[in-house]
Parts: sequence; structure tokens; C-alpha cells
Amino acid sequence: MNDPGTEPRIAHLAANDFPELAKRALDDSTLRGALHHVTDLFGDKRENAVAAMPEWEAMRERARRVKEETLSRLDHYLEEFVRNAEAAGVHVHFARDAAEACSAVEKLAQRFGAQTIAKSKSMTTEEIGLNHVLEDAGLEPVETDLGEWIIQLAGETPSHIIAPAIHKTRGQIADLFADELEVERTDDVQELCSIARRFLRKSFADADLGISGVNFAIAETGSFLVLENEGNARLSTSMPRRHLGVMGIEKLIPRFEDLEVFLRLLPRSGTGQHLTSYQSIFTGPKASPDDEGPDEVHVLILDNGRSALLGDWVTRQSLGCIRCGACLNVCPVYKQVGGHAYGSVYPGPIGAVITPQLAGVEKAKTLPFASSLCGACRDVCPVKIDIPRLLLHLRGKIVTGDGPPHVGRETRKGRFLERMTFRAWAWWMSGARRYRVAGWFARKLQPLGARPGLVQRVARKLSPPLGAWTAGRELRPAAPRSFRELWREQEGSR
Amino acid sequence: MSTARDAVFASIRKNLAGVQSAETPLDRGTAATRLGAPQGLDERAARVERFTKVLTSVDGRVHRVANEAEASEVLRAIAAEHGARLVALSDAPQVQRIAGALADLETFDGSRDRARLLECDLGVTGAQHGIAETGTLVLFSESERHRLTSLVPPIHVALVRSSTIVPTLGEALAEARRAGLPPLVSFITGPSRTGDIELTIVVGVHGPKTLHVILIDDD
Repeated sequence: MNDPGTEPRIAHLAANDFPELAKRALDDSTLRGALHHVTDLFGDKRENAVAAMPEWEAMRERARRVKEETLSRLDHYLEEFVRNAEAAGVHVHFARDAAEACSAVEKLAQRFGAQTIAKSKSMTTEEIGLNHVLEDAGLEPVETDLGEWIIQLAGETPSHIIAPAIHKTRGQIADLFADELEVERTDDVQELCSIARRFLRKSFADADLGISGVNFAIAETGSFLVLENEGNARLSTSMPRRHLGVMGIEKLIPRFEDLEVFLRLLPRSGTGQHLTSYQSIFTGPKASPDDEGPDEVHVLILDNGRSALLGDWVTRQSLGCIRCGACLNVCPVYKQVGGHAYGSVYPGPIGAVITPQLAGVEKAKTLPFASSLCGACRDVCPVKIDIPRLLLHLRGKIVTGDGPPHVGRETRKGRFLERMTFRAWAWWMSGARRYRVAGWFARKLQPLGARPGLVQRVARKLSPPLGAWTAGRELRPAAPRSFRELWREQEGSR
Repeated sequence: MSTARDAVFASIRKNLAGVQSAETPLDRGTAATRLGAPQGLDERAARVERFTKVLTSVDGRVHRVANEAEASEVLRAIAAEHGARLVALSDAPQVQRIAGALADLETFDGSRDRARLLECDLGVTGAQHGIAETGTLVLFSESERHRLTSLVPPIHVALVRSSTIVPTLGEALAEARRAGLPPLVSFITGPSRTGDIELTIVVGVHGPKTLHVILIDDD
């Protein structure tokens, strides 16, 4: 149940367009090459890192447990966090939804007289569409993570949780830099990184406010933590005079000790590193004016539909996600279509469950179906989120009219056809004789399949699902002789 | 009019009403069980060996010395290798002593002069601890002014006393709490890196391109 009067929203949402966007992605061979590269590399690295960890399963179970403990008592732990953060001198702000969060940040920026804002990577600020709001207010938010900066320059959205610009080739990035930054074109990756370093150094030095995400917030100390590899989060939170961390209500863990297991799980699951290059644990602003670091530290805590998932353990577990991206890299659907097809800042299996739950199923009713339910996501999830179960739960909601009425009506016809098809299939396949006859027909009709498009045309006429299936694939040929025939021959020759 | 804070808490409480968690809070003892922690790091030699091996595997460069005089010599060689002239220092006495012995370098306090910090060639800081498990440096912001000097220059040289290397992440976190949780606890493992363009690993995109650690066997 959402608080009335709030409007949970995910920025730039086009999650009902999955079938269309997926089709477009499948036709893009550059994208598909890049996707295979990233998912294979991260997948392999993760597997190697996990293989070297004998207690991996116990660690996952611990992490799941800690998250469930936190989420089922979230009011208690959130209160504790706020109390301790404020005691450490942190200014704590709350926002019910995306609009309220953006306007809170805008007001803070204006109060600080901030013009340039250095941003380090944060999925939560992507979710609320913060940059556009700040830009409309005449401010200059600069994404400083290399991948995020590239997509900001290109005016795009991230396609992978931890490698946001993976859909772009170095050639495309070379063109982008040459056009947008007026530098000499180079497609040398080292050079491109040097250009980024040079340009962004100025932003760090000019920025009056640094905005970071939050990987973990610790209730008992009021601390929060950011993990990264590039050093841009360190710069964004060290050079400007004010630092603002933006987090969802679910980022909490109860105890400082709990960090240890999450620090072992997150980098291994995300990039296969034993630890990312940098972790920064922030506990309040600097103690004396002579010290380094920001004068003021602020935290903005966002609901945006999250609290509505707390009531039931099936939905609550999706708030345990630590945004590692492991489920993307193993997903047979994500591997083919990539992040943009999901039409949400949260792509892949976890995106297919988070997006409809936060934004409302009517805004993302195709996503829970964008899965083969193979369970690979559940097997790699470092906090053991049962994603297939959540997908089924959401499918149920969409199909049974628990969702909005127009969803029910549209799917009723499909449901009827599907039920009839399966009933017929079950009848046909459960009699030995009928099975034999079906096989005989398949083999006899085989030569017709050689005529291009004929099978497809017939299949499309017969039943819509078959037509959809064969539109992108070849129909597998039936074996020239059946198992039963071969068996009889074998038996006969003995 | 209710504030956003009240509304968020009210919504959390409303949705959690009647929820029975299957999980009771972990007791301290269980929470402190170090799942996945490597074993066999009780001896100093084993900790130094693992620290060096892991840090080297992520492109950190480790130099082991017997005393501060040797540390000065190694620092001189590092500065020469990179052609460094302008060197930022943290305010730690040991850093001042070791770098101060090098008369041919122009040194300054990196926490005081931001303009020079942005131009300098190299930064020298101490580190409060090392972590053997992960080859990590641990910096407490209240122990030393090294937040920017360890970050902004293209080369970072960290001085670490080998007696301060703790076995695992868990012990490092415990040390951070024992130190009263300063405003910033930084864990640093190797140079800055990115794979954001075609997954090609490039070091030094924002933070230091090179990380040298001078390990001083202090007793």
C-alpha cells in the first residue's frame, strides 16, 4: 500500500515497450557483440572469484538473513540510523517520491549557491531523474563516473548497472568526445580516459556540491559507504564543500560488523574483484575547520514506492538487492537484448521485478514475462533473492486482474487460447497412439518445411504463439526416423 | 501538514503492521563470525606476504625496507623514476621525516594548497593500517591529513609500518571502530581503474595512476 498523495515514479520509463525495444536490440549486431563480451567476462570473473571462496553459500545465507532482519524491522533500524547520523552531525532529509526528492536536492543546491554539481554513480538518482530536474533549474550536474559521463554526453540512459556505457563502442565514444568536447578524435582507450580525467578534474575543482549514491548505511553508527573503482566518488565527496548521499530506505544494515560479509560479496558478484579499488566510509562532517573534506554532509532518504513492498516476504525480498548486476550477466534474456530493451533504469531480471513493483504493474506489464524462469539469477544472487518466484507473483498479479482492468481484458483471450492449446497438447501427448500419429505426420510433412516460409505461414495461421515463435527462429526438423522405429529395429536384429 | 519524514515512517509502519519476520536479530557473536575470512594470517610474515601478493596482483607496487633511512632512498628512486619534482605531503611526522630527507624535491602540505595539489607530480602519505586479506591500505581521516594527498596527485606513495597490517577486513573494520570512526575511513586497493570503455582496463582515470607502498619493518 502506498501512502496516498505520493506518486512513485521511475524516470524515462518505457517498460511497456519491451517487445518492441527487444526486437530493435536483436537487430543491432554491434550491441549484441558488446553484450556477449560484458556478460561473458563478468560472468567468468565472478565464477572464478566465487570458486575461490569456500564459504560462499554460508555468506549468501548470512547476507539474506541480515537483509530480511533489517527489512522486517525497517522502522526500527531507520530510526536508529537517523538518530546516529544526526548525532554525528549529518543533515538527514526524507522524500516520499521522486518529485519530492528532486525538489529537495534542487532546494539544497540553491541554498548552497551551487552551480556545478559533481555526481558520482548512483542508480537512485537515475531512478528519480535528478539530472534533468537540476538542469531545468539552470544547474550543471556533471556525472563523473566515466561510463555515466559518456551516456550523459550522449543523452542516453545506462544499459548495465555496473557498466553503464557498455553498449557503446570505442569508435562511437571517440566520435562523441570529438563532437561534444571539441577534442581531436582518438579511439585509443587510454587517450579517451585521459581526456575524461582532464575535463572532469575541472568539474571537481569547480563543484560546490558533490552527490554520491550509498551502497550501505549502517544503523548503529549512522555511517554510510560508497564502493567504486575510479576515484571519482572520492573526489566528488572530498573536494566540494558539501556532500550529499542519496539512498533508498532499503540500503540499511543493522551493525558495523555486518559490512564484512557484504564487502566480500558485492565486488565478487559485480566485477569478480576481491575488493573494488576504493571504499569510503563516511561518518559525519569534518571535526575541525582545519581538516580536509566537506563542511556539511547530507543524506537524502527516498521511499518512492519501496515501503509498499514491505508487507509480504515475497515482495520484501526484492528490497534486499545490493545492485551488483550479477543477475544481468547470467540472464539468457538480458544477454540477448541488453539493458535498454527493459525501458527502465533497472534492467535485467532484478529490473523486471523492481520496475513494476515501484512504478506499478500497469506501467511495466511486459517485463515479468521477459524471462524464461531458468533460475540462473536466483543462483548467483548474493542475497538469495528468489527472482523467478517474484516474476511469477507479478505475472499472477497482471493476469488475475489484481492489476488494472485493461490488463485483464487484453490477456483474457490469450489466457483462453493458451489453456486450450495446452489442454489439446496434453491430450495428444498422453496417448501412445496419438503420439505415434503426431510423429508420423511431423516426419511426412517434413519436406514441406524446405519451402521457405511455408511452415512459418502455416504456423502463424494455426496459432499465434507458434507464429511468434517461428518468426525469429528456424523450426527444428523432425528426425527422419522415430526412436520407436529405431528401437524396434535394434530389438529385431538381436 | 505532515513532513516527508513522518510520512515515510508512517508508510513503513503501516506496511509492516502484523509482519512476523522469520529472522530474529543476529546476536553480536554470530554477527562477528568472519564468514569467508582467510586463515593462517596470525604470523606477521604471513600477513606481509599476503598483503604484498594481493596488492601486486592489482597493479600496486610494494617496496620493503628495514628503516626510515631506506624508505627515504626508495622514495628518492620513485621520484626519479617518474621525474617528479613537486611533491605533496600529508602532515604525518613520519612522512615529513622521510620525505624531508630529500633536499632536491620541492615539498608542500597537500591539505593546505589546493592549487599546487592539482599541479603536483606525486603525493606521499602514511596509512594507519594494511589489510593482508585484500592488499588494502586503511586511512583514518583524523589520524593524518591525507584525504586529498592520497587522491589528487597522479602518483601516490604510501608509507605503511608492517606491524600495522591486520589479517582481514573484519579486523580492519574493528580497528576503525576502535579509532572512534573518524569522518572518513578510506580503503584503497591498488591504483584507480576503469573498464567503462569496451571493458578495457585503464588505470588512473580519476585517482592515482600508480600506487607505491613502502613497507617499513618497524621492529
